[in-house]
Amino acid sequence: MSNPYADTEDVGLVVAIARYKEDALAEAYRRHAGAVFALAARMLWERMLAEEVVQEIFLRLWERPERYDRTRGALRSFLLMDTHARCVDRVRADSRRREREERSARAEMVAEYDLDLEAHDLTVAEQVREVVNELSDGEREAIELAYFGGHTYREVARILGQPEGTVKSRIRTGLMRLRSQLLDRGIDESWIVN
Amino acid sequence: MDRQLTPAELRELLPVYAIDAVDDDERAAVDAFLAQDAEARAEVESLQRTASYLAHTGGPPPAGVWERLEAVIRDTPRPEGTVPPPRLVPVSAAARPARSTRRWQALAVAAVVVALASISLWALDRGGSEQRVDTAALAQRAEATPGARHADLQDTDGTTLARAVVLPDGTGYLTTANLPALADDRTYQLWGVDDHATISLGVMGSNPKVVAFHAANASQALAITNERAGGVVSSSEAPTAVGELRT
Repeated sequence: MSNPYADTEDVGLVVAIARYKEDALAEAYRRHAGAVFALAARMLWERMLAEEVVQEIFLRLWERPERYDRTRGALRSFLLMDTHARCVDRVRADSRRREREERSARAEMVAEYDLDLEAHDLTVAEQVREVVNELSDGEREAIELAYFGGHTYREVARILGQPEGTVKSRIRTGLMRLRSQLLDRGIDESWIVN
Repeated sequence: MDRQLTPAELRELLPVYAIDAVDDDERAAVDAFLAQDAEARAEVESLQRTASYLAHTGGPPPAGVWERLEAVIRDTPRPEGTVPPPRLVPVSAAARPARSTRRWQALAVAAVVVALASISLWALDRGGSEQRVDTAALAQRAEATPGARHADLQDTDGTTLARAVVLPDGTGYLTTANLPALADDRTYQLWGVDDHATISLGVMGSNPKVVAFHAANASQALAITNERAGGVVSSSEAPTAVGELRT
């Protein structure tokens, strides 16, 4: 049976979710749960924990849809920001996992992005990967350890054996360069609005 | 952190804050800074969106999670009745262009037209008893019009606070009953709700009696919220009353 919300824009889905329409939540889940899961899995390194985060993120969307403000960005960005914050909490609450992750961090830094089946996502992911590859090694390494590893910039500095100011500065210049290059390629929020 | 950070230092921290890479004490300092600086808030939001692209992959949802989620939400208590009260979410008319914006643009235009109509009709209501009688007479006549849809807007206790009638052409009238008058700095606001949107049908003032409005045919329910004077583009208030439109 096809979902009645299959053609509804994301913002319409959120309005319908606010009216307790389960089909609307199912459609939002179909569109974005893969990305949420990929980020959580990459940050937490355990499938079961990542699945818990996916459930938590969509349950929060169901219970508090008003937290999403379309004027502040696409639904997927909102869900990924939520996911990132949730995973950071978990990573920092679990020092054992963090230690293990620190050991694995260098290997992870050069890992490929999880490209996927959907052509649109694939296109965006490819563009993002190209832009990320244009960053300096130092910028890329600092951003990936902080963003995917859930580390503070001070921890990143310790892991890399670099001054805190250098790491802070590389994260700043890297993120700004990323933003500007994505815009130069015409990638903005409209790319990820369904 | 043994000393207070300067604004320049706090600004330097914004990118690391945007990716959750600050310590707890720095986070508290940046939070306080952001509370006072709109430009800094906008910068953080922009950087957070940029960072989210790093994780912008697709992929199939994990197997089995939806089933667990569905079981949880089925157990979530929700309001009784055939039409759940709408939980109003931010819907700004000033949204960025998206791939398919036509419907939202149309809704925004409709909302503006309706707001203008409502304001002039509200002026009628406040203009004097003779004109109020006219609107009331129109509302009464509309009640008997073939094809009209009706709604009893009730509070959570089931008390009817207003009754609405919407004609096939979308013209509607709302007649209040038991709707308490508000303070002068508050207003009632009427909303039309369908599966895709919740849009303002007009600001009704602090003590409305009979109000005319225009609702899109897609509207399935009406809701009244209590807002600050002047009304809001989007509401986060729980509805004061809500009712399904039925033929």
